[in-house]
Amino acid sequence: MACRTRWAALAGCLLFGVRTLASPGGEALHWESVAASSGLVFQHVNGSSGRFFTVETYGSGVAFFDYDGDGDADLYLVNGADLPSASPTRPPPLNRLFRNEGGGVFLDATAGAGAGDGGYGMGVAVADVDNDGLCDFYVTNWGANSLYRNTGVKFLNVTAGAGVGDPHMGTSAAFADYDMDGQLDLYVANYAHIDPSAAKECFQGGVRVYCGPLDHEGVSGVLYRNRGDGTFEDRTRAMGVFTEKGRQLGVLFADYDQDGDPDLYIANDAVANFLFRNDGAAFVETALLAGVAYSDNGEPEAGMGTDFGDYDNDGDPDLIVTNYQWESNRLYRNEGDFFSDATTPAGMTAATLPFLGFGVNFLDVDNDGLRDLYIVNGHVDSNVRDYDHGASYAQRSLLFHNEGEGRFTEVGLHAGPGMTLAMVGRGSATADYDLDGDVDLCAVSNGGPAVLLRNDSRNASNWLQVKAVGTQSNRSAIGARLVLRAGTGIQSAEVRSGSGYLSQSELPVHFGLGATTQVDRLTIYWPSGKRQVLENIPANQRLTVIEPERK
Amino acid sequence: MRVPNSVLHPLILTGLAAGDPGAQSQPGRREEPERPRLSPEDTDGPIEPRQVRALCAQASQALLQGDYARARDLYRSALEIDEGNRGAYYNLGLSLIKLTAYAEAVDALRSAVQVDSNYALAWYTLGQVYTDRLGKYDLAVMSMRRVVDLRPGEALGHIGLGQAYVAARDFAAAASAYRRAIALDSLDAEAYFGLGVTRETQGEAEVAEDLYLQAVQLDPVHAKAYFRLGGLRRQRGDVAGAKRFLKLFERMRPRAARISRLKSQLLSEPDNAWLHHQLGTLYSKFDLPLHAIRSLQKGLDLHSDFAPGYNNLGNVYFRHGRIEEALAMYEAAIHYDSSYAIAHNNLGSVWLLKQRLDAAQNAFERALQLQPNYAEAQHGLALVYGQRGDRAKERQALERYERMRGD
Repeated sequence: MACRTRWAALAGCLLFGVRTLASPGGEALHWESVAASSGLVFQHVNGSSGRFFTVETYGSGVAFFDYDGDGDADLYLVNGADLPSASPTRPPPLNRLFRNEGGGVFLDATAGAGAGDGGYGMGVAVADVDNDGLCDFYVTNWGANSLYRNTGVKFLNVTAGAGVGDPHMGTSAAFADYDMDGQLDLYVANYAHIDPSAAKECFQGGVRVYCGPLDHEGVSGVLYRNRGDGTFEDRTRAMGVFTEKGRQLGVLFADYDQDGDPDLYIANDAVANFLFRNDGAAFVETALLAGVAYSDNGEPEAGMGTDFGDYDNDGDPDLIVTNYQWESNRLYRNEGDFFSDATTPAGMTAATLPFLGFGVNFLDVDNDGLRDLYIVNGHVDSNVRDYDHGASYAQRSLLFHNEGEGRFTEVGLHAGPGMTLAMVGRGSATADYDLDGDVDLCAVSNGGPAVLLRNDSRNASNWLQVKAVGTQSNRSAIGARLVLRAGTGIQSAEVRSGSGYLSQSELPVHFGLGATTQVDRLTIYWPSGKRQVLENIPANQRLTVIEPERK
Repeated sequence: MRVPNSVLHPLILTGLAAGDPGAQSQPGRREEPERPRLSPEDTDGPIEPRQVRALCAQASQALLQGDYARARDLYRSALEIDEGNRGAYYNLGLSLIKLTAYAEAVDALRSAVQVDSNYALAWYTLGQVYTDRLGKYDLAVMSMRRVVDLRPGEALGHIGLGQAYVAARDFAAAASAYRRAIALDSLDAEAYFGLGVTRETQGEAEVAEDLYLQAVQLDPVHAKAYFRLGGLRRQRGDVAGAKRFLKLFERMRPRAARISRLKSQLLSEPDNAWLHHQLGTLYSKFDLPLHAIRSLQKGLDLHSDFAPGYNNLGNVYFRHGRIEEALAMYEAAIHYDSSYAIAHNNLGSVWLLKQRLDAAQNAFERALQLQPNYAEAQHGLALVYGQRGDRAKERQALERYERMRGD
């Protein structure tokens, strides 16, 4: 959704049709795995040939976005490629674009849309880069990355002209207007120098395994500034974000300190995470001081995916980071301009220790007004059971239901067959792809199929989805902060590019409203600095809000 | 007169503790090897078949050398022959922990305590795995309670119990366990730290801060305490204070990791003199003289004829101006090993400092007899001649010194 403004014919708010909620049988929370029946045929290829090239372990990402502007979320799935020594895959693996046909059906539109990047794909980020009302996307590769511009007819690879083809091992990427000029800039995370021809052999328990993050030299990510003329300039060093200390995987922009500009968080594998605070003239790395670099005991962890979300409804974005097996994931609560480690109080330590987490998403699965957590898991070593009988390669996902008061309960085993599915989980993204008022999920399995999880939870709760369209701000409204007041409570969310691990959730923002049938007040803080207030909004609709011309 | 630094030989451990299983594999290492804790029960107890002993010895060697998979396989082979060997089960557990195979490590450790339900070390390690890796807090508490029952007078078990209770969110019980640990050993920084974590979790920030400060006073390289102190200051809005503590945290983190490894080995080998020496040497390197003296002295208490231990302790005293004590230590080192050139050289440095030039000359000359190309001793000799005003001999000695350095 969300890039194509022509669907919003009027400035202000447009009401979409009010829907009744689906209420299938089964558990209160119920997820069905529907990829096959939806036409979503996708097989990820990681090029594995038994030679243990590290790059095979990272899997790929997924993006939900409305590329054709028809009002529903389409799907883009990133694929790997064959590696030296692997038997060639026929036909060669490509990234795939699936058009949402409505009625829960997807059709492969890759060829016609020109979206089938053939690099060794890792991640994807989506935004209307040129502010023309059409969603463009950026693909990171092990090798040169690609920017695809949406012409309305098909996608064109404009990487060379735009100057964004960083050649390293790109992982997650995210767009944001860091300099507040109305043009979306781009941060691309890089992991490490990985050269298969120089690969050393690594062992665990006498068993050949993939080498770890510290067996490779780190590579700095790249910050590209959008000049607004279709080209970008590398501002990595100038803006203070150059560092080779990381092994960068998950990346997010969010205004954690609520000073009006986007800050940058990077989850690092096995070394301290980064939080680059945007001070206008430059970014300042402040993760240690802000309390989000390490575990609660000052230990670096194997950061994979990350997401921001206001789980405690206090108006600021909190942070989740997924980590390696036998480390817990980490939940950091935003305390203003720093974070406290809320993992154990939230009940997430013991529950996450036995899983190796990758994709992660804050989402309100039951529309009760509290953001829950979905976490995709899967080990990196396909032979992990040869050295650790307590682990498995494919792992089930975790679904943490937010109970309020800062507590979560893991309910994945009681949330339908889709949630108990074991997979080698990597990227994950959220969208209400079937437009039934609840949030669905898509995840990618390393070397396996894509998994589409339809939310068939039985709930009578209300909801509101908001598609923000920038005018003076960037057209995708990325960075817009939405604060909603309904009844006595508030909720907040940001329009965000990039999410979880290597992935992108749909741009429209979803709020569960519980029993509340009307939103008293919705305030939008646009990146341009404008503040827009809407009042008395009926629930159960997808609302498009266009940034007003005047303050 | 200042004695040039070059005269004083740097800290070095040239000997190994008798009976130390790692002695043959780690000759002359200045930095401590990262060795897992070994069960002293390996070779204790009833007479084992020769084959089992041989397998356990090989397994121990593999464990010490970091070949954990081989250690695991050898211990398993030993246990196939002697399934009642609690030490083999324990060390198998350690191997599996190193391999991050925690579920199997638990099986091995549980077998160890099935063989001997009074095996406190195995209960303790089991409790740690339950707490830190498997998130099974009820079992962690149960295991640590067993440790405390078996060793009520040792602080360590109470600290482990406190950690398990904190993980299980039973803060009152955790505080009680930590207080007991402090009562048993008021110098144990970890007990103060643990009680601080408990108090912080209960929202008592000021009490927690005091406890963390006590922890770093007792153990100035306690990185985790600095980290927590930084966090508390940040919460209080004292950004400058937070930065100061977090800087200390970053400086101490690698040091703490090295010390922690040695301390963890000492848990299962408390009477291993070599480990105490290594710990003392490390403390000295990190400029923590009181800790260094305590550890080196403990090593000498356990292995009283270990000449390098006296020499190293002498160096710590010397660097901190405790010259008479340094002198006594160097003389003790020479007493136990009269051919120990380094000790003679260091003794010469002390005599030189005390202006006992004849004694200094004798000491340096003896060092040079024992080690003819010993440049530092030659330099010391030159200084003696210089002090006497014998410029010709001084020049001659310095020329020899330069040649030795060139060599």
